[in-house]
Formats: sequence, C-alpha cells, structure tokens
Amino acid sequence: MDKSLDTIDAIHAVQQELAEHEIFFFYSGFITEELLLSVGNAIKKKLELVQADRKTSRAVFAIFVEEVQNIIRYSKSVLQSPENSNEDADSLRHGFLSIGRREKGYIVCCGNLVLNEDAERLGVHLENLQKMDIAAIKQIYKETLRNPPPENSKGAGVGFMDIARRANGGFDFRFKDVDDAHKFFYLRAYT
Amino acid sequence: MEPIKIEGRENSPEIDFDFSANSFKISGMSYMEDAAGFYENIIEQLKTYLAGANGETITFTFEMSYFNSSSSRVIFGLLGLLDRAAGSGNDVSIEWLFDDEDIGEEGELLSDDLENASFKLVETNNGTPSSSDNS
Repeated sequence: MDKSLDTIDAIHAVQQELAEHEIFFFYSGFITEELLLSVGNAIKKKLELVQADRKTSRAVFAIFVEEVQNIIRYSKSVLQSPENSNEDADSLRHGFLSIGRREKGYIVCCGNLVLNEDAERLGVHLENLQKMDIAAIKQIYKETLRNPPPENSKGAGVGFMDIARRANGGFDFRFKDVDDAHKFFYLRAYT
Repeated sequence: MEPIKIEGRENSPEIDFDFSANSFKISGMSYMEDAAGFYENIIEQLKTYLAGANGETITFTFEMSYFNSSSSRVIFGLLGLLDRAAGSGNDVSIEWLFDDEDIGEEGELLSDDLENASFKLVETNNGTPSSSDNS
C-alpha cells in the first residue's frame, strides 16, 4: 500500500474535523518566539477582518501569547543538540495550539507534554483558579507579583492567572496519558 | 548619566530615559518571552541613578499598548522602585497613559501598592487626554 496516500487521507480527515469544529488555526510542532510574532499578527489580522470586538480580540491575542510562552518554557517535548544536556540552552520545544469559533467568541487551546509529577501540581493550581472569580484572581495575581517568582518558574508565575482573568467564558483542562513518565496537557480558554 | 534610547519593536517597547531631564518613558508593546532579561540592564541603570537622587522632580510615563504577564512582573517591580525613590526625598509622578480600558485596568491593579509616588491614569482616546487622579 502506498504510504503517502495514507498520509494525505489522514491529514484530510484532520482538516475536515477541524473545519467541522470551526477551528481556523491549528499548529502542531516546534514553537519559537518568531512563530509567535508572525502567527500573532495573522490572528490579529483575521480578527480585524471578521470585525471581532476589540476586547475579545485583545483577550484572544493575550491568551495566545501566554499559551505560546508557556509551551516555550515548559514543554517536556524538547529537541536539543546531542552535545548539550541543558534543556534550556538552544533547544526547540514542541507543542500544539488552536483557535476556533464558538457561538459568542473564541476558544484558544494549547497542549504540551508534561511530566507526571508536574501534572499533579499543575492540575491543583488550575482547579484553584477555576473556583475563583475575577476579583479573587486579581488578588492572587498581585500577591504573586509581590513575591519573587517561584523557583521552578521561568516566567513570572502568573501566566495561567492571566489566562484565567482574560477568559471571560472560563477555561478547562485535561491530561491524557502518554507513557509511564509523561502526560499530554490540554488547556482550553473561552472568550 | 548617558540617556537610554531604545527603539520599539514588534514585541518590545520603546525606551526613552533622559536622566539629566529626570524624564523617563516606556511605550509600546512588551511581550518578549524573556522580559526580565530585556529590562535587566535598563532597570539596573535606573536603580543606580535613583540611589543617588535626592530632591529631584521625576516624571515617569508608561504608554503601553499591550504587555504579557512576565512584563507585568517587571513593571510591578519598576513601580516599586519609583515608589521607594519617592519615599526617600524625591517628587515622583507616574503617568499611565492608556487608550484601552484593559490597559487602564492593568495600570490600576499594578499601582495599587504605591504609597509615596503620585500615580495618574490618563486616557488618551484620539489624542484628547482626560485624566483621573488617584494620588
């Protein structure tokens, strides 16, 4: 059997599935800051063209930025040169991003590989955020800024809080088993 | 001290620090991945300057169009630095220009802890400023 035909069928099936779910942006692969700049612009342009209201467009863009930077910092699917054992130096991180329409607004989704032990901590953090209203999120956001960034954080430790603040339709998340040590983490934010 | 002038880019802000005029401004976009790294040197120089400043009248202007969460940590730290300078014998006015309510809210949130510096939110819709003063 011709393998290349299978590939096209598979990609076409994905493409149709995405269209059915009104997902107009889908990316799976290595994620860099340059990618964020160019795709970010394309998304801004697209939202301008469909005349999304300014607040919604800003929320989609801001959530997208936080999600991309989260992948760049934390994805455990990393390509690095064999001579370099430092995960942070000159490596490429793999992740997944999508943006789709929903009835009133957009769904901004991201996914990346995480370690099992990190999944647990991440899940607790996100569940706590889900229970909070905007005022409570702002409060904890400020408290977090007042303290030095958490030791395992390469950003400001407030990325998910920022997403939670801007996602006025809330957010949800899920972990899918990958192997003994890893899970795939998905987060969906609704504007 | 030599002035600092850095041109704005797509994801990093324009920096205009004129030490001799006591006039400082950060404007534009700020969503680089390594925000702490981008601002490190600039803030070091500002720290050095403020450590030696006494009885000065300092104006610091923010005119951000968007910033990510790691930049908000930097800006929060910067506001704290300015507040301490205001608490040690300087007259510090911070102006937070915004043309978008989200950025206005952000300014309000980040300036909440200020005790000594004056902080003014200035809406700049179509170039016609109207301001509310909370100092």
